[in-house]
Parts: sequence; C-alpha cells; structure tokens
Amino acid sequence: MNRESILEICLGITAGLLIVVIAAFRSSKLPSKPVLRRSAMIALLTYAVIAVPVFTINGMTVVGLIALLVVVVLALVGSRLAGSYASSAQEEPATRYVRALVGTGLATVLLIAGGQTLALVGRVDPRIMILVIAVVAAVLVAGQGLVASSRISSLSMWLLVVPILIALALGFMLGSAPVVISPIRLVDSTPIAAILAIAVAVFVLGGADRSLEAFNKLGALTPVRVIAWVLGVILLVVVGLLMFFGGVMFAPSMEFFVVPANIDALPGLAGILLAILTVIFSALVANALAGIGALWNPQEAQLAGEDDSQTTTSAPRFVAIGAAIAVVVALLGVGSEPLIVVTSLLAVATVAAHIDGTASPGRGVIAGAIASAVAAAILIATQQLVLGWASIVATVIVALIAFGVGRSASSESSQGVASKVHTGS
Amino acid sequence: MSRMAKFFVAVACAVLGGLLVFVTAPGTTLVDAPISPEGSDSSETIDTKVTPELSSFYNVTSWEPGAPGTLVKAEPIEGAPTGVKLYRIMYQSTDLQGRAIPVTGLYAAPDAPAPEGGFPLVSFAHGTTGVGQVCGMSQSPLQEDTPANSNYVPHIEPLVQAGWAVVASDYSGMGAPGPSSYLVGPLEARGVLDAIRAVENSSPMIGDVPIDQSKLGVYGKSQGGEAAMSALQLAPDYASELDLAGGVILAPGFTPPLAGILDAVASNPTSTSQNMFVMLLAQSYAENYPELVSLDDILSPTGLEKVSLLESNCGHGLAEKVSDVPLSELINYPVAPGFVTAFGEAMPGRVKLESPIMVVQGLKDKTIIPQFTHAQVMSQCAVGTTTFYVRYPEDDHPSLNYQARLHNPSVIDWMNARWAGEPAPSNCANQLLGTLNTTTAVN
Repeated sequence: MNRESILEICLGITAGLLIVVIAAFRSSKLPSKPVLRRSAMIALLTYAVIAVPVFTINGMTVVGLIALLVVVVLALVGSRLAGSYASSAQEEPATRYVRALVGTGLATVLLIAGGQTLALVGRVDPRIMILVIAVVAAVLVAGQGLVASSRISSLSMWLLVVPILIALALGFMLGSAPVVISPIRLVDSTPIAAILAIAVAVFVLGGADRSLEAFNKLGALTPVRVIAWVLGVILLVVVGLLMFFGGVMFAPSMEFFVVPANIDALPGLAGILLAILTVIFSALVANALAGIGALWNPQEAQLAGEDDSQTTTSAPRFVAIGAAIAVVVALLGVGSEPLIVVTSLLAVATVAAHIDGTASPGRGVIAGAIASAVAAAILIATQQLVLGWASIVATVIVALIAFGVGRSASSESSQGVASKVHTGS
Repeated sequence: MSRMAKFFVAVACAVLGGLLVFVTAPGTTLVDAPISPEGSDSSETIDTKVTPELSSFYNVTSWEPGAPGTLVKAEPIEGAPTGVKLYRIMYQSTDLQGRAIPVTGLYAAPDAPAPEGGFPLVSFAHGTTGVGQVCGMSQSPLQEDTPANSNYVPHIEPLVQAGWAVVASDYSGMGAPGPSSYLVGPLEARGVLDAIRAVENSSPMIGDVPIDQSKLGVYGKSQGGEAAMSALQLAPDYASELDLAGGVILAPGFTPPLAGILDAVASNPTSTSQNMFVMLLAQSYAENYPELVSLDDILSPTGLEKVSLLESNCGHGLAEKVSDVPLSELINYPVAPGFVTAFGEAMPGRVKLESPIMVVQGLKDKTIIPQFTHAQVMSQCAVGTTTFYVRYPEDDHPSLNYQARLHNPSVIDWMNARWAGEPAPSNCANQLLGTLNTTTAVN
C-alpha cells in the first residue's frame, strides 16, 4: 500500500498461473515417486490450510501449534483407516457422487482461502481470483488428472521454502525464541469445542479424500517421510511467526498484516510473492479437483507404471462440474466454516457406510447424505452451523445413520443370497 | 485434443485470467493530489509552546460518582467566535476497572437555528498533546499556541462551520484528575463515547442545543484516530444505545505490539523524535496495566527522572524537555515484555466494527508510520469492517488536517452521506465476496 503496484501484482499472478501450466505440461513422462510424494504432502497440507483459522482467530500459541499438527496427522490417519474402501471399480454411484461432493466442498474452501488471501494481499478482486484459479486448475486437471496436480503440487512444495525463510527471518531478526514457550501476548485459548470439531472434521474429510486415497494406493503417502516433511513445514513457518509475534499469532490482526500490507516496499517483491501464492493455492485446488476426477478415472495403476485399462472419458466432465459448483458456492459468500461442517457431514456419510467393508454400502451413503442435509438444515436454523459441539454431535448422528442403514442393507442382501442358496434357486 | 492443444488452451486461460484480474482490480486508494496548500507550511503537529493554567472548573472535591455519560457541570467559554457556542463540560465516565471517574471536555455547537431534528454530533478525539491535566481540549481552545488551540483551529472549528455539533473529550486525566490514557484504547474510548452521552440530550447547562440522535459519529486524528477506532470497537458493548453512523480516522496512532519493531525504535542511539510519545505511553500503560508493567520496567533511570515533567507540560514544550537525550537513553532495552503485552491489550484492530470507517493517511507522514496504518486497514478489511481507505502521496501529518476536509473525497461529505442514509463505500478488495457492494475508487 506504499505505492501503486497493481500492474506488478497482476503480472506476478499471471506469472504464477503460467508457472502452474508449464509445471503441469513440462514432461510427458509419468510423475516419479518423489514427485508423487511431494504432491501427497500438498494434499495433506490442505488440511493445515483448512484448520489454521480455527486456531489463529483466538490466538495460536505453541499449544495450538501442537494441536494443529495433531489435526493434520488425523487427516492422514483418516485416509489410512478408510483404506478398506472397496476399489473404485466397485464403487457404487451413490458413494462416487457423494465423494465428489466432498471433493467439491474441499475445492470450494480452498478457493475461498486462495481468493481471500490473494485479494487481501494483492488488492485484487477475490471473485475474479476464485474464477481464474478454478478455471486454470480445472483445465489442467481435466486434461491430465493426477499427473497435472502432482507436478503442480511438487513445484509448490519447493516454493514453500519462501514462506519458511520469511517466517524464520522475521522470527530470528525481529523476534526471540523464548517467547514461543512463554508468550508475552495475552490470549484467550481457542475453545476446546472448536478444536475437537475441526479434528473430527479433518479426520472424516481425510477418510473421504480421493486424492489422499490415490496417493495411498500409489505408495506415495509413506507416513513417516510425508508426515515429517509436512509437519516440518508447518512447524518452521509457525514457530518463526510465533517468535515474531511474541508467542501468540492472532490472525487477522494489525500486527499480522504489518508485513503483507507492505510487500510493495521493495520493487518486485510484491509480484514475486503473489506469483508464489498463486502457485501454492492453484496446487491446493488442483489436488482437490483431481480427487473428483479420480473417482471416474482412477489413475493409480497408470501412475504406478502398470497398464490402465479402466480409463473413462467422463472424468473431465465431472472435474468441470465440480469446479463450476465450487466457484458458484464460493461466490455465494457463505464462509469457510459452514462449508467445512457441511462437507465433513457428507464425508462421514461415505466413511461410516463403508466401515464394515460391506458389499453394498450405497444405501448407507444415501441415507447418510440425506441425514447430512437434514442436519445441516437444523444447524442453520439454530445458527449452529459452525465448528463446535453441535457440529460434532451432528457428525456422530450422521455417521450412525449411514453405518446403520448400510449395515442393515448389507444384512438384507446377505440374507437374500443365503435364502437363494438354501432353496437352490 | 492433443497434448499441445491442451497446453495452449491452458496458457490462454492463464494469460486471459491475469488480464481479467488486472482489468477488474478495484480502484486505487491513492489520491492524485499535491500536498494541501493550507497545511504545506505547517509546523509540527504539536506546535504548542504555551501551557495553560488549570482553572477551578477542574476541581472535583464536590464530585460524586454517577452513571456514565451524565453531564456533571458546564461553563461557557468566553470569547467564542461569532456563530459558535463553546462550553467546557465535565461528565461521568469509567476507568478500565469500571469505576466512575470524572472526565472533562470541550463542547462546540453552531450558534444558529438547528436543522429539523437537531444538529448532527461528532465526538472528536484529539491528537497527542500530553497526559497532564493542563493538556486537554477544554482548557483554552481559543488561546494561540496551546494544546487545545492546536486541535480547535484545524479540526473543531471547521466541523462546527460545517453545521455539526462537536464534543471533544479531554480524555481521562487531562482536565479532571484521573488515570492517564495515552493510547490506552479502551480508556480513551470510554471518554469519547461518554462525551456523546453527556451532550446528546439538550440541556440548559450547554445552551439547549438540540442534537439529532440519529446522526452521531466519531472523528479522530493521530492519537485520536486510534481513540476513535477504539470507541467504535467498544461501542456495541459499552454504549449500545448510541447509533454511530461512522468514524473518520485521520493518520491514526497505531503501534503494533511487536517486540522486534519496538526494540528497533528503542535502540536507536540518535533519534529523539519518539521521546515524548514513549514517555506518555510509559506513564499511561504503567498506570492502567500495573499487573503487566511498571515504570521501572519501561524507563531507564534517566527516563524516570523525566516522568515528573508530564504532569505540567504539554505539546511542543514537553517534547523539547524530554528530547535532550536520545530515546535509547530514556527507555530500557530490550523493551520490557510487559510493555509489549500492554500494547496488545490497548490497541484496537481484531474485532469487526459495526460502523463503517473512512481512514485517511498521508504517505509523507513522519509522525505516524503509514505502514502501520496500511496494516490496520488490511486487518479491518479482513475482519469485515466496511472500510474506505484514502492515501495522499504528498501529505504529511499537519497538512492532512486540511486535505482530508477540503479535497475530494472529503471526510465531511463522507460523514454527511452516512447521516443521509447512503450506503458506506468500501475499497476493501476482500469484502467483495458475498456482498453486493461495489468498490469505490477515489480517482
């Protein structure tokens, strides 16, 4: 805000978009294991982006940082535990569509985060930023699926070194290390209900995340290495910022924006930072959209170098539909928190219906989806569509309904088969 | 579609996307204007050489605690210009612990027939003059080179001439005795809000001036900009009955609670320009946040010796007396952690304001750091406050007094439009999501 820098900022955003495109197309070979591993890290970092506002709005301390790290791990745990899903080839339509909605919900939350961040820092129109990121990500993912999102994500992992360096530089040059343990800022801690609610939400979202599932199957989600890198990135950035902010990070706040409001102080800095932010948020959104596409075009065998005879042509269509819905919902301005709650309700419907590994969990998913809609309506009517005890209770109820109906449907199916066997028909 | 075709489609989307972002970017907040000629040769903001006497009006031996905002007493000020009614007032307010305290202030209203419904009323929050009982707005607004006059001439009188009634709190401790309040946002806010309560009902004590209670606002410069924003932040809890249409915030005195930045300022071995501000902060924070910090924590022995100067010196006179040594000799280094904590408690900025604000900042300001104003504006945008931010590239701290009123977009027009019921403009880019407002550029 020190000078008129809109041209520089827009050039930076354009450069970021072009970097994303080039990254996606730079090679016709299949992504290597390291590339897939880095994209798995970005898929997991999605949950840090989703969860961090819960902690920073009331002030994040080192305790909040530890809780955030646990929450991110829960996404991975949820994904691994849900690895008992039937393979995509056997995935019932109901499950596929509801999981697509989950992926759309994730994409929407990430578009909002990206649009708001880029608009706030760059003073551009957030609606246009949402549209542009969604279109570019959708075009790339529709064209190349997980291959595109993997390459973009891999690049953005490298670029994360910039925010890490900035945070550590601020922390060591203008802050002090002891305050991380003993904050000099007063803080009302984040309500335990909000922390538990985001933990539950992330756990079930991870379980329903098709991107994480794909990386699981590819062996790219090796827990120790991926977790170590992801937690390391979060730790370095947040610790650096905690040192700078006096042990407590409030966002939004005047002190939080001292640096972002003045990135135009040095010529070119604003453009570079906006380019990096554009790449990172494009990668996050591309990952979420790739998860939608993977529901109709499971590419795991192909990416593992095996012959893939299961490709379909409908994946790009569903990626485009998912992106379009995400853009529309993001522009409605309902806010991220309600979207996280609704999306996690849908996610738990799919996860719970498959817990038993039953043969036909479709009814459970449908029942869970209907229960999610009813629960969301009740939460809206009672003004409780936020992360808290009500959302936790709603999640549990939807899970029980999805599980119960899915299991009873499977039982009926088993009895029917047994009956036929018994009568010899 | 071939791989190459997909690539070119993607490139086209990226380029067109960037172009779309550029052409739809909200309008600039930079005003293409030279430095205001009215203020271009102004001396420093605190161009006050005369410390007024404290009259018996400020004696509180017969004062009894009462409900916040109650008018205790008033007296007309002699020599008021033609067309202006001037009173000094004493009213009830509260300290940070909720205890009743007396606060004084200046009340200025047009000496003319009131419009239908009464005059609009703004609570003016004044800039840095000191913390002593002699340093307020009400002591001698008409005497040249006094703290009160330095705010009356560029701010209060023009607003009255614009047809507004203006009440200007001295702040706690700067007239009637009470805790020092320099940049203690919650305490200044109480004084600003209770001043409105004290005069919004017509009273013979203050000339039976009818006030339109649907046309209220706050207006602050420098320290007062921070005080005005604090008042807007506190209003929903402290004075929810006040229908504040908006706030004008000129070159506000925000200081982010960042130890590293405060240390960098404190360790400067050559600078003296911040000496007075630091002394005022030390006195006020030690007094209001004793559980966090003491004067010994903040000030060096040299600084402690100068504390006694704060009681009876104001403005330029005070600045001269505390600027004989560099700041690094006045303040302990590194800055006391409790001092930083107190900043965090005292500064506004994490809560959405229910009223819209217009923030004006000169980029050549040497008294207020524009970069901190940018950060505060960005924070207000992020939390959802309807914010209209205007930057003047060539204006400094004194000249902004005039530029903000006289140049388009004028703060007076902005406030009048709020009272007329017009939707407040916003040039916060991130507030476009989910709203129907369109941004308003200034050029």
